[in-house]
Amino acid sequence: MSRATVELDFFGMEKQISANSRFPKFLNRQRSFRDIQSAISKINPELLKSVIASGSANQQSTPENGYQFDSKKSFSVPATPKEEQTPFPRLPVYYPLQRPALENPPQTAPLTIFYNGTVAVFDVPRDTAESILKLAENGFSKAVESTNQKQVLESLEGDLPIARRKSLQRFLEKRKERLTSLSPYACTPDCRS
Amino acid sequence: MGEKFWVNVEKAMVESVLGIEACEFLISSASNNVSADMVSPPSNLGVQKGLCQLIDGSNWNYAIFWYASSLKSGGSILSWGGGVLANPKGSGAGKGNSIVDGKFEAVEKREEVKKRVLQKLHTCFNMLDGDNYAANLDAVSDVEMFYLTSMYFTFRCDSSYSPVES
Repeated sequence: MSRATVELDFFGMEKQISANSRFPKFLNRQRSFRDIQSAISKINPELLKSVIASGSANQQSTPENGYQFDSKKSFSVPATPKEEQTPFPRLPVYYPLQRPALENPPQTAPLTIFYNGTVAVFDVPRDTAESILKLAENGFSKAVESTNQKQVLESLEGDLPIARRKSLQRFLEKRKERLTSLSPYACTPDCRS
Repeated sequence: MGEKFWVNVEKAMVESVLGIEACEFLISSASNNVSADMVSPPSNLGVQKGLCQLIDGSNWNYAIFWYASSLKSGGSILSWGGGVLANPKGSGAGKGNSIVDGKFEAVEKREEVKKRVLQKLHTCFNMLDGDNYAANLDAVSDVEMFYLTSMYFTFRCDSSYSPVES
C-alpha cells in the first residue's frame, strides 16, 4: 500500500525545475525541507497575491495540468482578464508528487500546504483531502452547493468555534484594560460586556 | 494529529496543572473533530450580556454558557457557547493563586508551566490560528486557568461526566 504524501506545489517550484515541459511529471526525487523553506522566504507575499489574482482571471489553457486556486484571503480578483502576458510563472500548479514513505508513516498521510510563508499541516482523512483538492481545482468562486463540499470549506476555515474565539478575545481585551489601568482606587464594575 | 502530538514531557506537564482525567480527555478530544460533527456549531450566541448580568449580581468567579447541539453521528453534546470572568476580588496583587510552598522560584515555575499548558492546548485545538496568545500573558490565576481550559472541553450528553463534575 503506498503511503504517498500529496503536496500542492503552490510556487511552481517543480514547474520551474522542469522548465519547458507543459505536462505534469510525477517526480520522485528527494527534496530537502530547507530548499522549500528558502524558496518560500524568497517569495514576496504581495507578488504571490498579484499572481494568483491575475492567474484566476486569466483562464489559460491546459486545465487538466494545473488548477487555479482562489485564495480566500482578502484581496480582490480583477474582473477583466489581463491581455498582456504575465511575466511571473503561472501559479499555482498542481503536481501530485509520489514520495517514498518516511520513517513513521501515519495511518493517513497529512495534507501539507505551503502558502505565503506559512506551512499548514492537516490531518484529514483521504476522501476529505481529495475533496479539498477537487474544490480548489474547481475554484472557490463557484457556488458551493453540495453539503459535502460545504463541510470541507468549513474545515478549511479552521474549525475554530466562533463562540470560543470571541470569549478568548474578550478575555484578552479585559486583561489588557486591567493592566493598563492599575489605579488601586479605580472603581470598575465586575463585568463589562 | 492527536496522540502523537503529545510527547511524554508535555503530557506530564499538562497533567500537573489540569489533572490526569482532564489531560486524557483533551488528548483524545484534540484528535476528534467534534465541531464538524455538530449539527449547529455555536456561533455568535449573544449570551454575553446575560452572563455579565449574572456576574454583576453575584459573587461568582465566572459564568460559562454550555451550548447544546445534536451530533450528526447521533446523541448530543455540550460545548463552549460563551463565558465571562469576574474581575479579581480584592486589591490588585491578589490573584487568588494557590501557592504551594511559598517560594518565589516555585511560584514562577508554576506560572510558566501554566502558560505552556495553554500554549499547548492552543496549538492542538486551533491549528490555523497563527497567534498564540498564551506566550504574551502575564501570570495566569488558577481561576483564569480553569476558565481558559474550559473552552476546549465538550461534554457528551449521554455520558455520566458532566460540567458540574469538572
